[in-house]
Amino acid sequence: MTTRRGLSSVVGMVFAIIVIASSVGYVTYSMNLLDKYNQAVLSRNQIAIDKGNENFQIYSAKISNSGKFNITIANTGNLPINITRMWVQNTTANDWVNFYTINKAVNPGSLLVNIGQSSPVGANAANAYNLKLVTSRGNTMQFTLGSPGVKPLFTQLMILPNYVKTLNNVTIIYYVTNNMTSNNLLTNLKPTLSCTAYGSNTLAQKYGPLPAQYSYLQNGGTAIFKWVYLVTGTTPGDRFACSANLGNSLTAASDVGYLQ
Amino acid sequence: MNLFERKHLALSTVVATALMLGAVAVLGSTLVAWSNTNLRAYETSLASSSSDKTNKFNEFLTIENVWFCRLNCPHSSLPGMNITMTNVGNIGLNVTQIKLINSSKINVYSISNGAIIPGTSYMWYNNNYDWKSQVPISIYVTTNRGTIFATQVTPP
Repeated sequence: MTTRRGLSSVVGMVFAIIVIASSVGYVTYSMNLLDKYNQAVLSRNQIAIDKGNENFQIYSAKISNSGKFNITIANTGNLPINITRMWVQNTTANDWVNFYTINKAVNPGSLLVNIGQSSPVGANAANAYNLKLVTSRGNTMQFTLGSPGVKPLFTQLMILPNYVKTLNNVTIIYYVTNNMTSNNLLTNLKPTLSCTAYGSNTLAQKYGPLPAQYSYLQNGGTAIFKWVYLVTGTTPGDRFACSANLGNSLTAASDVGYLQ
Repeated sequence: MNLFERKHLALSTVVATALMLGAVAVLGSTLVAWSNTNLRAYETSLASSSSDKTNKFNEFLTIENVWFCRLNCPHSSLPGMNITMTNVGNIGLNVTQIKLINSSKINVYSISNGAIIPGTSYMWYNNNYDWKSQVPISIYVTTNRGTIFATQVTPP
């Protein structure tokens, strides 16, 4: 009886060892697989989080005298950004799309300047462009850059004071606000002022415009130009009128003054 | 009498033990072999499935840019469109199909040369796609692992 008990114990132990070894092996293998999958999930999440944490803004954008884009961006996030490519679409012309490779990194809190200066893609200040910057993580920033004659703008002209005595100066102020939707940036704002005196009045320009031009006006920004004219006249009530624009009727504004 | 009985008992015990051990050995070996085969097959299947799912999960494609042309399209006088895709993940992928859906039609295009290694782009140009201005187009890009990346664009 003692012998048989010993034998059954050995046999049972062998089976138990086989079962335990199989179970341990399977659990270990499963844990390894789960670990690999977990690593993949973490890696994927990290990529997605990094992509979401990328943040950069247009610091300035203009078309330089050499006929090239000159864009500066600021990395306002907390991760380094690699700008890989810039797409350029001339919306003034038909089917004009181009791109060029940048591959330049910008650290958090830093600026990346002169984007577009070394590009073979030229730019004409009279045209409007749709630009898109692409990062290595797949984020993009799209904005338009163009002359102020593409769409109507909020403009206002003020003659100060409206009633002026003879041999006094009037200040003429021309406000231009970039109220276009989305990331529409305006370039090369050069105002033209035209004044007409009626009756006994005469107008003599003393100086202006100040400043002569704005090379860049971001979305929501306002450009202010100033002129000063000397008014002379003999008949109170005689009027003089001024109108200003940025080279097209979509940006025109006018005002009227009188001799006191 | 007692001596004779003891001899018989000893013989039957030995035979029974031998038979039992033999049976257990055969049954045990068969069971272990069967289990091993099954486990190997299951392990291979699990490894393959896990690898597929992990790779699929790691695919990361962005549709970087889409542009349209009508009058001065490259290499064609017909209207067309260009889709630029960039692999921003850490494994290679293979674009096998691009589907374009707008309000009136569905176009499915098979891609045979859409392999994209990480960090590079693939530009797909369709030189005969009659898009309509301001009519949105849904773009579905499918990879060989079955991942679908989608975006929507509106022609100018």
